[in-house]
Amino acid sequence: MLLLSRLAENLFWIGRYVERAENTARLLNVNYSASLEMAGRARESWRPLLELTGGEAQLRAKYGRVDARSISAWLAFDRDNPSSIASSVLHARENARGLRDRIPSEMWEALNRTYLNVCFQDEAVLARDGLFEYCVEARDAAQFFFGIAFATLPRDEGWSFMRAGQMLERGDNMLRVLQSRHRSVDTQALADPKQRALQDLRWVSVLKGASAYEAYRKRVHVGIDPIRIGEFLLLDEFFPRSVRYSAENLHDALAQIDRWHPGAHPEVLRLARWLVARLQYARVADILDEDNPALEELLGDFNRVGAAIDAAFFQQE
Amino acid sequence: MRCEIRHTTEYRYPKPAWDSFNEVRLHPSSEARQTVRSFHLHVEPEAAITSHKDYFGALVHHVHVHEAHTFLKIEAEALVDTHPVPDPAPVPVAELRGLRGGYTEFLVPSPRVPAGDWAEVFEVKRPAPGDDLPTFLMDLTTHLRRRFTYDTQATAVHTPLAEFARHGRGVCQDFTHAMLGVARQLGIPARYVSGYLYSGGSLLGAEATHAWAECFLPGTGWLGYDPTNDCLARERHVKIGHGREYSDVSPVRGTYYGGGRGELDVEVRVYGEQ
Amino acid sequence: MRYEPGNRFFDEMFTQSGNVRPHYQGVQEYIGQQGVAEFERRHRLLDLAFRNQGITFTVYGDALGTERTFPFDPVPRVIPAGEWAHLEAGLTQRVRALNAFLNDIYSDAQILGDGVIPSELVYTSAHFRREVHGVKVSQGLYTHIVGTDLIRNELGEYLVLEDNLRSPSGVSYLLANRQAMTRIYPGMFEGQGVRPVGHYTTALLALLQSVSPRENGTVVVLTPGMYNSAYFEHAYLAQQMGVELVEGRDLFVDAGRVWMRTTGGRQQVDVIYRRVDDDFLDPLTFRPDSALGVAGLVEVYRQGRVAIANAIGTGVADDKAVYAYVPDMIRYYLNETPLLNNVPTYLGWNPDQLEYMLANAGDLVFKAVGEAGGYGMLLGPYATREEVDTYLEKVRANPREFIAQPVVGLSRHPTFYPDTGEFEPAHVDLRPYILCGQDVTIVPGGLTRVALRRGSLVVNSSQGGGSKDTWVLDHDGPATPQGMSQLWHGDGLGQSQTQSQYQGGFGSAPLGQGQSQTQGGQSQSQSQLGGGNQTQSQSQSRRYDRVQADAQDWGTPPEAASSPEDAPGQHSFQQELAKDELGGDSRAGEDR
Repeated sequence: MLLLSRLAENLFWIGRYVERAENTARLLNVNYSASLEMAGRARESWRPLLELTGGEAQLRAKYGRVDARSISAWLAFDRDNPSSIASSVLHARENARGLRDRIPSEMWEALNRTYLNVCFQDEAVLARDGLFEYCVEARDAAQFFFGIAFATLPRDEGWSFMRAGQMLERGDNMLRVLQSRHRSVDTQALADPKQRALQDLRWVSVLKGASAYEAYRKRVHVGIDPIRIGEFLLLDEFFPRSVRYSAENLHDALAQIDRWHPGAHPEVLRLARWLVARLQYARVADILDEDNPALEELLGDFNRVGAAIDAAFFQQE
Repeated sequence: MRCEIRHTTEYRYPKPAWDSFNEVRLHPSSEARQTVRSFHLHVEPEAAITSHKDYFGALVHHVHVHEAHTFLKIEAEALVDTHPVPDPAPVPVAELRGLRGGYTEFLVPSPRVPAGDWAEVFEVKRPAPGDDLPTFLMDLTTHLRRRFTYDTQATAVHTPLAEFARHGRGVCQDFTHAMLGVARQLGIPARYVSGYLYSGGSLLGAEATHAWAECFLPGTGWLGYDPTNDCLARERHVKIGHGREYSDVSPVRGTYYGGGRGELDVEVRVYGEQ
Repeated sequence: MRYEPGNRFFDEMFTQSGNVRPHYQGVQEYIGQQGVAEFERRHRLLDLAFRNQGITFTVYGDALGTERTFPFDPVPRVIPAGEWAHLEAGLTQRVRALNAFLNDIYSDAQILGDGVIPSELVYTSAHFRREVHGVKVSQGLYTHIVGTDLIRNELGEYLVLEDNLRSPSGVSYLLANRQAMTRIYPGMFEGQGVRPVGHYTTALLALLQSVSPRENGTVVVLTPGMYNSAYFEHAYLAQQMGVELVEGRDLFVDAGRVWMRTTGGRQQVDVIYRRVDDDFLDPLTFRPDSALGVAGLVEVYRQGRVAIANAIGTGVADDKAVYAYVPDMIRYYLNETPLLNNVPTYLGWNPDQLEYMLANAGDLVFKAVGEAGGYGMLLGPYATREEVDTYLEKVRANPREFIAQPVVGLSRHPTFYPDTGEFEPAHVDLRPYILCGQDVTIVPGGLTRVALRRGSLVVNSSQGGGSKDTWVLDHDGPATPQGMSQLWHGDGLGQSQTQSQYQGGFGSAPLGQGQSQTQGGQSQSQSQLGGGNQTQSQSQSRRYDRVQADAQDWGTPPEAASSPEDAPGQHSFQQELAKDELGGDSRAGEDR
């Protein structure tokens, strides 16, 4: 069985872009809702989101202001933002076009419909209070897409590349969310009950942004404890959006690919295994308190796996 | 005359280039008018070199560099003995009518020498059937030389003949295409020749590859006329090959990936001794 | 389903007196039983079937990426066995002659030496590729896949309108049409003896494999990419054959071979079924600005390490001026009389014919020899004085580039019009697909294209054309519910008595089979006009309606994607050109 490098790359990036669209939609929705109740502190709830997706300078340059509206527009519809929901869907669709003869038509049609619904909107959506629906639509569309893929795409090498992209993006995204939240934890302020309440709210947002709130509550019976939340989102082996889960599935996908080309690219698997091992044996205190490994390092590890995949399968010759 | 030619082409790239494919037409032709004593092609970095004989009989070398590189040098060294070229025998223009099929290739329009009333455009007086063909061609050569101005800045590789005709400023490529246009229109088979010129400094177009026309004269055969220098192509002209027009004989052409904005350096040295 | 066919055009289904031709009786009965309402309902089902299968095309320039289905009319065009046998023999003869011509032109050119075809025509053809002169091709096959456009004149005689030897397209629609028809109208097929067409991709793959330089070679389909209007077909054929669909950037040349970039490393490629025009195949050899091809490909081809189908350089034989000489080629190479005639053609290159063309522009159809897709045409009878004058100026400036033909009234066929719920006659043509291997294999029938706009003669898809399923029956007469065997020789309903060669499947047709004409019975005089003689098969003075032939590829030709300045694009140069573009030495390089 043969897979052209270009197609493997397309599938990998479809996985990344659709996952990115979904994550961004979730985050945006949750933060927007949360910020409605925070009036003066809105900035604090938005900052991390911006840091996450980058581009504050461009945002300011284009909209002239940083507020709920401009940020929402920037993250949702703006095609000048390469990480917006619209841009992600657009790129995913472009990649899928080249694969039309190989992916089930339902997959293409789902993506195309999403593209038509999501990529031609603008701030008018905000004016009519439509952001929630917009984000839900994007999130649902992504899930639908992966659902169809799961159901109809043959489990061949191409599937593994898409899965690898998806999991890489998921892990990467979660790490960035934790990074931005973790930075803004102010332990001193915890003494003050009002501050404490705000902090808690923010952490709840983090959980909700990862669709983890209910799962967390079920699993961890303690209240809103940043450390436990961090642990849950980083290391929980059962929660499908945790960093550890993502790393493990990323490794599995790469192991599958390796079965098609046994021993051809040991570096890729080695890096993936290393990442999994780190997460399997880490303690949350080490990660969050002692920066050992730091969240940055873990992000770096994910990126290294991505670079190795690129070098091994997409860039040769 | 013994000529030694060194033709060096160097490319320098700010970023690595790869998959470089080059078609090299630098091997002097083996014909009656010259004997090729030796020919060497050096390439840096190491490259796979193959060759084939093209439609017009030229030996074409293929230079392929697969790996990334920031420097490519293609150097051709040739030793050629050119022989005296006798004056053509007189023959009336009317003899051309008797020519059979084999010269069609050099009588029909080609992309860079399209059909047109070039004799009128270049104000060339049509010869009468009884006129002497070699004389006419020599007069034509002189006429064009006087009419045109040698100017390396005036035209580019792709400048159409019609545009050159408007201002008459250009280089040997343009002069030659013009002569071909006129000759073909008048029913004289004519082909484009690429080669070298030993100038000893006095002739134009040296230190570079040169171009001139070859016309067919019944009774004599193909004879070279150089409109850039108003002379016959004799011992100082070393021929590489011929074709319908420039693009059939371009000395080096190629493609590559990456590289960024590369720099090209060409050096041609022609040494001669009688 | 009935209408008055009139006597102006040949009608496929009805005779001049309005009777149904025997081979259509089955269809007539079936549709009669159906009723219009049912027919309309199924018409919608057909559209849905196409959409679901993805038989759609993206309208160029449509950013929303909306897809349209190709208009399809369900009334099939039926060809009886005897008629088909004649066509098959004529087409086989034609492609054999064309292959012989190409072999000759790219080696000794004896046909030119013998003065049968003017050498100027060949040497000035933009598609005569000197770069591949002398290359040995496998089994002497230059053109492996041919799409020849046939029309039927007012007397019902089949004429060849043009041959397409480079990248003929449309076979995927043929296959999709048949599949849709058998699903939605199974009853129509019952007992009719329709010959199957589904073998095409199997035969195509076998053909491609047979020209591989290595045993069990790797075959790929080379496409310009998803922005090409025929992309669906490229993908479909690759998928049906089970081979990779690649773009230029998936391939590279190294160590004298062609390779594919896969996740498992490089994989050698042996046969390229290319749907990219010669000009864009190799930036080293042809257009340097092409990003669709593979640098160095032609040299590998020269060395015989990769096979290319159709071969490089076949375009010289489907040049519209060279087309006029195909009957001469048949005589010269095969020593036979052409079984299928050309449409009478005048060549601008010939001074006498040019004079005639200019004088009678109002009655003729002019075509530019290099153009495809119906571009560069003038329809004399329908153009204004001004348009004619403007066009003729171009002709005078470059006469070799133009031909002219009398307008031929295409045959008509009953077609369903949903807006009126009626069956009305619409003009049709036929494009059979010919596979040229050791044997010549022709899909029974081909793609029938129909001009859907009322009164239009334009069958081109981008201008309101559609298609029909084409049936070749394994018999000549009407079907009976029991089957066909007893009707093997027809039943004397005035059809020709020539026998079809086989029952089911399709195989090669032997050469040298004398065929009598099926309808009309007129012996046709020579259509090619050489040496100033004009023999016409029909009277020319009648004013006919338009005819417009379709293109090589069904849509606009592949566009050269412009490559960005830096990687991942590529750089090409001829030395001076590079010198112009690059920074560097001001010393006069090369012959400037």
